[in-house]
Amino acid sequence: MNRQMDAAIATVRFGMGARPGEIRDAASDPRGWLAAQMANPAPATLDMKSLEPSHELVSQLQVAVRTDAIPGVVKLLRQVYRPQYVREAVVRTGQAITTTSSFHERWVHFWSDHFTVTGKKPVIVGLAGGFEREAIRPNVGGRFVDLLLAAVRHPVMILYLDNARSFGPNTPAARYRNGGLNENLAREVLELHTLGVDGGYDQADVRSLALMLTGWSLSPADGNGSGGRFHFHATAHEPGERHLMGIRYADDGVGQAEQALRDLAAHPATARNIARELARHFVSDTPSPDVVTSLSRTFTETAGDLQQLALALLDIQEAWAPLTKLKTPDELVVSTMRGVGANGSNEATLNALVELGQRPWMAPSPKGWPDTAEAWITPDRALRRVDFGAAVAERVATMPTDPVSRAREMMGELYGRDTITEISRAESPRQALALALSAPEFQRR
Amino acid sequence: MKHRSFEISRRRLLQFSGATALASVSGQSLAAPASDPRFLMIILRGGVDGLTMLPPTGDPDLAGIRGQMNEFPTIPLDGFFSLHGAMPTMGELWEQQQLIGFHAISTPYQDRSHFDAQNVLENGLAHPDGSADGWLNRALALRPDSARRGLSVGAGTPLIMRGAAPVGSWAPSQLPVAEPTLVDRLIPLWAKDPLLARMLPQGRELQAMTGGMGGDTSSGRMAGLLDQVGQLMARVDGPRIVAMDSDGWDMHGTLLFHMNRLSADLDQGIARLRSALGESWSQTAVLIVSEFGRTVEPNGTGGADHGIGGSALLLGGAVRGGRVIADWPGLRPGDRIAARDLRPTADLRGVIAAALADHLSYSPTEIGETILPGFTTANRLPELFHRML
Repeated sequence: MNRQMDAAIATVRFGMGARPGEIRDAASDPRGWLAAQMANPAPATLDMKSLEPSHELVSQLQVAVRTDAIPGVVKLLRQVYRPQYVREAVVRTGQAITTTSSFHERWVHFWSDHFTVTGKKPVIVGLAGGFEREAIRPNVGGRFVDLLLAAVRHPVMILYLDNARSFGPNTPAARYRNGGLNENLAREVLELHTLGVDGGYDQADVRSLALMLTGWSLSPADGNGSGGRFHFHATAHEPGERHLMGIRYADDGVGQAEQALRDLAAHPATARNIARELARHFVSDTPSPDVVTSLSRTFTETAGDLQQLALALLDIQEAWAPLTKLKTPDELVVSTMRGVGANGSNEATLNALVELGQRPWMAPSPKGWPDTAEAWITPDRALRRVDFGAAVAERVATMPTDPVSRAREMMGELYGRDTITEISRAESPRQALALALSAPEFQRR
Repeated sequence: MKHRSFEISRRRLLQFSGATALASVSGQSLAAPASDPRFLMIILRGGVDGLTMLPPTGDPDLAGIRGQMNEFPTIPLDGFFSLHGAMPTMGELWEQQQLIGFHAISTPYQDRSHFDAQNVLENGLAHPDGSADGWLNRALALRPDSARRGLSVGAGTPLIMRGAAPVGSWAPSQLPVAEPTLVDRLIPLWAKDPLLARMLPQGRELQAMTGGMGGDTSSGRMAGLLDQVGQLMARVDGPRIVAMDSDGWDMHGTLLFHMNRLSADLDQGIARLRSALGESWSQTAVLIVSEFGRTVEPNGTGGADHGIGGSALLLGGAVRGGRVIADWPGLRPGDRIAARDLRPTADLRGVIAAALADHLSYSPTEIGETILPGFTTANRLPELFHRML
């Protein structure tokens, strides 16, 4: 075992890129360095704690819809949600750039993507950050089932996948509101959040889960600050027993879908689906079936204990092979800023993410962002990555006196000999830094 | 399968095709033949609602089934079908016989997952798995110079353009361009990484082509993007086979509001594309498709859920338009799949194969063996394009 190499891999593969000094810190025990982050993650930044809770933002939406319909929503988007989005995105990126627990931070981002809510649906623009802060971040160290319940019950998910106005066809609410069933949330829960598209469910299962989920909605805004939260509307809940994946669910109000979600979380297809996603994220674009099987087994044996699952990743030999994954634009931007020791994020950081094609919480669909190389690298985007590295190097105030050791602070032994040679021969320290940030090794993790 | 009296739309198209052929002798054929054809594929991600984009306003069941969701302005086409009223350019193209609508159409995929459906649309097979490359890439691979001729517009490369053939990719940029000497130093380093090896030199070629192109594209909206795509495709050395995405068509709620917004943007984009293409418009075909359609019945939230049968538009100077091609299945519960989805009566591959064979001049062997494996080119829809000379 090469501990120097492992320390570099710990920071760039499992973490979000090395900040100055980190590879040194990790070198005595790379696995222990990572495991400690999971056990005791550094607290979130103060900026994050100062952001508005979702229920307040959702309440404003409810009021806008009620009083002024679409023009009201358009106004809210412009005056409140877009500025909120920028604040949230700057804070999220800043947290990723500055945290000393970047393995934990990656873990948060991984699960946030698994339960994607995206601003591609305009009202979600100002809300996605709150969803991640409230439903995902506090729950990634617990059990999968609790994370699932937190995500599906969160008002922003309810809004995003249209469950707030999904009414049981035979309910008073459906008659009163002239509405009916919407199966969007149920379908994505089965296809994306739990079983996976090949998980063995059919259209009848989708409909059945959708019926069980009727009534999972939001509390109305009433001026007392109790609006915009999860609320079970019994009058919208379709009565009757249901079957899902061969299991019978007696009508138990809100408990019916809750039990269904618990069973889905424990289903072997869910274990396999999650294992596949984890292996693709932490091992390679094409992980071996053995790796998937082993992670799937851990998921099942620990009853979906996410902390155990994170530690199991560290025991997979293949996960320590260098640079198998291409960085997504978000990973590139964050690791670059970490590499130069930036002390936060700002709108320029967001603009870089826009240019490179990955604005926070703007994934194209509920499936989230692609997690394989070919979706992210094209000639045009490649040049853009170099432009970005050069632009960052341009802005760094203090140039290193020894560019090669500076580069080693960012990637340790992961740079190849030719790259190190080129860095040492650069025409200026600034170009040396630009080379280190735009080198092919730095595009990978 | 039922055939109501609505099959007039198909019969009518047969009458039309005679008229169109005449028109092409008297007028259209005087324009430059498609000797240098351009093909643009726009994928509306999310499953566009065909009953709103190309509503069958002559179907007596439509208004009753859709209720308030049927109350929006339309542009009448052939007496049975209409266009959404936010698309005046498309209406104009219809008048000029440069637009064909397709309805009750789908890929071979007969289920309701976005992602599987998009895979089938893009991999050109009959099932979601089994191919890591896209059919446009396989088509490009059969001709030289794919890196120039093929272009993917926007962030990332969609599956349809991924594969062995190197293709271009482009999105407007606001970042300052790095020093050329830095890129010079990086090219040999990147060359050692197989995935990255060809990227920087190809990026430079593309940069040379698009150099200095600015414009109002920061929002990524279709109108601005299509203007620039038109400028690229108009160039003598520009791309010829282009794919781009438009997001946001998965309208489970407030469908009419979103359709109005996105259709208008798309329509303005087509207007700007046409004007940017100039003379080359006569050699251009644009195929606008989506991975599937939406349920016939509105859902409970002013939208519609995922449904199998959908619609598509084919337009451009190279298109023999002025008709809607549909073997209309009807909208009543018994006409639908599982009493919910519009029943597809046509295979979208029939349109794609026609574009490949009759616009881009691929042979039946190339199409059936490589581009759309298993599809028989003879089964393509006939006479969608002006004959190339």
